Amino acid sequence: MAKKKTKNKEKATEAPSRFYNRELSWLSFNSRVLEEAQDRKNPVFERLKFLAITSSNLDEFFMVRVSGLLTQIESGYNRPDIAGLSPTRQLEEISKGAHKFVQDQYNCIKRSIIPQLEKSGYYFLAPKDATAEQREFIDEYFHSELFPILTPMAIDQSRPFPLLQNKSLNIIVQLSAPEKENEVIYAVVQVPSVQSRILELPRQREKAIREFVFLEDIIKLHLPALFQGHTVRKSYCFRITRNSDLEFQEDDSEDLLHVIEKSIQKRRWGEPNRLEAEKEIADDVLEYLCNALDFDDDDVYKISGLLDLTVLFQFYAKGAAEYKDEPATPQPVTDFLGAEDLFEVIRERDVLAHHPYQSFDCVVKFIRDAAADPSVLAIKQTLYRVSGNSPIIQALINAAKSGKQVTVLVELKARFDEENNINWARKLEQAGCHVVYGLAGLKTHCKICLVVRKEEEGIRRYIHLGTGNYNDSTAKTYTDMSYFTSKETFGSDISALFNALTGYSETPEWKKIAVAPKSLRSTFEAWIENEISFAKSGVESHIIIKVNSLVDEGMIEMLYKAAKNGVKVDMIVRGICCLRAGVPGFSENIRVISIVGRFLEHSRIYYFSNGGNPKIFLSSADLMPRNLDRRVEVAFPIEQEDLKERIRALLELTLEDTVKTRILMPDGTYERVPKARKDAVHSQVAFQKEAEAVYAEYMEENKPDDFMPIMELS
Amino acid sequence: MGKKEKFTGHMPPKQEQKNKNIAAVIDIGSNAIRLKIAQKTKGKVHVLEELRYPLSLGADTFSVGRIELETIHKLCQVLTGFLTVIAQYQVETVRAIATTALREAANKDHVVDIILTRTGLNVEILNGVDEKSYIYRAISKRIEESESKLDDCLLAYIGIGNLGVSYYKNGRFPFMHSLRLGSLRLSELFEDVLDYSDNFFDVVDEYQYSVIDDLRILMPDYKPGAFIACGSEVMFIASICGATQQDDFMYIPRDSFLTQFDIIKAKTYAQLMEDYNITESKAEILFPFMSMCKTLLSLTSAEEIIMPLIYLRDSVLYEELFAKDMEKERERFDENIITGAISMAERYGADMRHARRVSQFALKIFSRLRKDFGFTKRDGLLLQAAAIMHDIGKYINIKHHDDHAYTIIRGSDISGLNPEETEFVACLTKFNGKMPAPDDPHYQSLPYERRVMATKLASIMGIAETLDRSHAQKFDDIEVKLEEDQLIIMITTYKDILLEEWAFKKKAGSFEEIFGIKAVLRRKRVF
Repeated sequence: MAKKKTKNKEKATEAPSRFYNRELSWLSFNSRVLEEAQDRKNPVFERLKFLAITSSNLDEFFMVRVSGLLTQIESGYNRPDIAGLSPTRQLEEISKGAHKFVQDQYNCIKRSIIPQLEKSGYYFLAPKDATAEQREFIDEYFHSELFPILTPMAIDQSRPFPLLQNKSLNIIVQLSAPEKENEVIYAVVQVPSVQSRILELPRQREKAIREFVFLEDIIKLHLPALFQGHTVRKSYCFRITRNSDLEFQEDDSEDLLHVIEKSIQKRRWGEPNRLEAEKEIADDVLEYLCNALDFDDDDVYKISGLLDLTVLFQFYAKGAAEYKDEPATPQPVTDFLGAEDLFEVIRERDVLAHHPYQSFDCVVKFIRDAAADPSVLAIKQTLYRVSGNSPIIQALINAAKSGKQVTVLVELKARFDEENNINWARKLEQAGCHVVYGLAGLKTHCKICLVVRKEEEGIRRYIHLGTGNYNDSTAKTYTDMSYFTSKETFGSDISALFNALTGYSETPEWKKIAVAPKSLRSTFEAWIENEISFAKSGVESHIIIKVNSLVDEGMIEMLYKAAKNGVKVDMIVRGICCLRAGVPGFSENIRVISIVGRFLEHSRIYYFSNGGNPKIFLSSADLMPRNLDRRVEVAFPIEQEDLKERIRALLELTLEDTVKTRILMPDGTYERVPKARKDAVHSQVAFQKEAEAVYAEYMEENKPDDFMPIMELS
Repeated sequence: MGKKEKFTGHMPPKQEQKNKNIAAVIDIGSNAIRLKIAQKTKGKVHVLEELRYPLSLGADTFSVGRIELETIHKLCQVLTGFLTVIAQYQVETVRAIATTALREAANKDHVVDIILTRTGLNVEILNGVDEKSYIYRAISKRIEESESKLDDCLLAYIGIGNLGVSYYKNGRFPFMHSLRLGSLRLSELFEDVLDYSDNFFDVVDEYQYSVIDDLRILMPDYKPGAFIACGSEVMFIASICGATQQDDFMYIPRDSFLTQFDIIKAKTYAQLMEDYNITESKAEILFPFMSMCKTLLSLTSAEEIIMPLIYLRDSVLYEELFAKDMEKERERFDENIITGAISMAERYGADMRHARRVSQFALKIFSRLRKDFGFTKRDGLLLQAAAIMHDIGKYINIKHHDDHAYTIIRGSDISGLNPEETEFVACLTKFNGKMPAPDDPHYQSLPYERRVMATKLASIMGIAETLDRSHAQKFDDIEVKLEEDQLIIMITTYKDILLEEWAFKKKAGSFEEIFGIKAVLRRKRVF
């Protein structure tokens, strides 16, 4: 990190701007995740998971962001961004930053994680280090399991360089032609993705608990068997990343589902933009690859060790519990305990749940109960990303089958989930749900669910609004908030929003919520202006915003303006932040922190002190142009006093965090909170404890009496 | 007119009115299609869903006179979407109503049929009177509930395709007039002028003024003290004119309205769209709306324009949800027919004492026969209206006065009467107790199922008329008995009634022919 700092400093002086470049800010975020992998205080298997996360993050970054810049350049667009960097310049900086980053990654795994794993008894072996018995096991495995599924592809005049799948791991093999020792032939072998890349070996070493070998090493060892009659001269692993940002023409005439299906096909074969290869790769082989795939030197990443660290996600499962974080059990939402059904509770008062500290089960139950409840007439819901075997989808299917009116808005354009979502969409349709794909040109990102229930007094609507997806599996690791209400104003707003999303109606004037792309930006602007006018009239005013990314130029300028007028601005921005904090002249009053920890900070909270009567919104939206202008996002106000207080306290505690907080410095670097300055505050741990305490207290208050006196004789 | 015993061909048969808990109204308007779903909770209307889809049927009708095929397809698609939402609420009553744009489309019957086949939805095309009646009922109910105790006011319903003007006094509407002037109609009418003239708004202004100003002839001879305007643009105009709100009424001071009018007049469509952040279709109808408002305002001495936030769909929805409670309200409103008939009779110099007496006797006879001959309450109202106006033809010429009455009535807007009913009442005065010839063109012009009814009511009116043949009100009341095969009318008077007896006998023949029972006049002598 130390070196990185100086680099950023240079940049700051070179491009004196009011903003940071978003790509470089993102790289810096990924470095913060890497810090968690480097942090020896974290259990070793958690560390390697963080490492895997940085790796998959980086893949996606190349697939989407880098390819986006390349496309800009290709189409002749070379205008500088808000930070004053042209796309060409950005690519240069990214390449520099990414190379450095990869070096840090591999330093971390080689010098720190692997030694610690070995200390803990987990060994990754090179085949040459295998014992004879293990070697026999490997050979047997190769011949029985691998050999039949390998497809070596030789390259010559009649057989061109094969099309390689995005992110697939391959081996380039240099061969001598039979009887022509001087003539060189190349071939490519893809490491099969159908087999686990990690093979566990019979345990041999005394110190070892488990011993493993990688598939690609086994294949390399047995290459002669694949190329009989040739001499294998050299072989190296490599991997390419392709442009994967889907582009589709949304056109009313064609079925959106169809258009997206077609473009997913194309994604596998987007332009390659990164080549990762073993560090040992020989110059001639590298040159050959670069020519064949049209790579520049800048695109090449030489890797000293294991390629594609996302494989560590698989490995995580093999670790013993003692080398992982203690499991944090999501606690039940006590408001719902003891009640016949959720509706009964929501009818009385609004309920807030803080995930993952509090279980996401209440959301699943909300939809399940609705599906099973004969009084429920209709369920409407948006789906953006859902889990593999989603209980929510199952509940919706059940509801439709039992004759309820089920409307599901499946966002087909959710990046990298397109295929998944098409499958769900089909399933839901078959079950009789009314499935819609949202609005052309806009992604539906808001997380809203509406249940229409016929009760004695008439129709009542129950609403769930969330900051995160309806995904029960990510809800275990993402910090998000769920809000349940039966307030009529929310009911009519959310109904109207569904009517707009289904194309039945134009949008109305909203009673409570703010909705992008129409009114979200102006709502936030109005509330910031409101703070400014308080500040101007001498009333203490405070804005706290917690988001994943802060990119939008207009919103940043508003925040500068607020700060300049004396509003205290606290920003909790986990990822990209293009705002420059604490810079004399325009942002002294702004403090930006980033929290990267065990749970992915994901909730979006907007707090405006409003002269002592705080206005609080929760939202699905970050402060990025795409959220404000190109997506359907919702910000909803929390109005029940106790819930407002709870959110305020939550923000306060988050701002006090000392353990996982990094503070954005005026030069664009992030620094840890100085130790020993005060007692350590670990907000994520504190939230977990708080949730446990709330549940324990509830159980204490509601525990059945131990002694039940017999009141009368039978 | 919620009571569905009318004879408009495309009205769905209505079962007995019951209170409904959830109702939906689809409003197929000139500029947009709307859906409103509401439930009744604790005696109040509680809106569940409000949808609006912009689709300009008016642009088709007011320019080419018919709804274009593409618009019909889109309309069906929108309605299908609405029905999906309706299905989510187990709605008990769905009313789909259409107004001017569909009413005046040459292909309206086919549009209605296509919608029915494709979506299963039965669209009712409200006639102008029914449409306005909903609004007027709602307004008079609100006025009575409010503390303002408004009275003596000019009331305008400024639609997209027509303009309703009426006069409200003592809880009644003695006058309801309808003009083919609407905000969109005006702007479509002068569309070609827009291309040639910078003074487009002047042309619109002058034109509507010339039409509305003629209303003076029909108005009372003084200026009403208050002006109420309702219609689609009310909310927006109220907001730009700095209105104040009290309950469901917006109040705009005369001066600020006129100032705003001049500001709007000076702008182009593009400026209006930009300055007020409105769509083009809204910009188009804004000026004509205000322009009509201004002219109507000049017919009054009001210092402010009162704009009630009352819309057709809300009124229909309310009457569906509160059908029982509204019944009285409807009956009371229906009496405007009598009020309207009286003001007509007065205008044409009829002998009012005679008119009232004939109406009174006719109703008495009618009431006795009602059960046995299946008359409805509304038939009674029509009969009374005809009886009150039966002599107005004499304004033109005593000779053939029945013919003249027919012409006058048919050509007038009479409070509470829709066009079919107006025709019916006109026929009653024309037949006036005589059996029309089978090929009588007026008789033929009535819907088949109403022809016999017309002769019956006309016959009752004819009999009643003979009882005051001398216009001398020789007796105050009659007694009516129905015995087996005869209707006995008993009168008590000491006066000589030879003329009445003579006249009665002349009409009794056709009465027997029509009803199949004898009509007998008996006199109790008193001295």
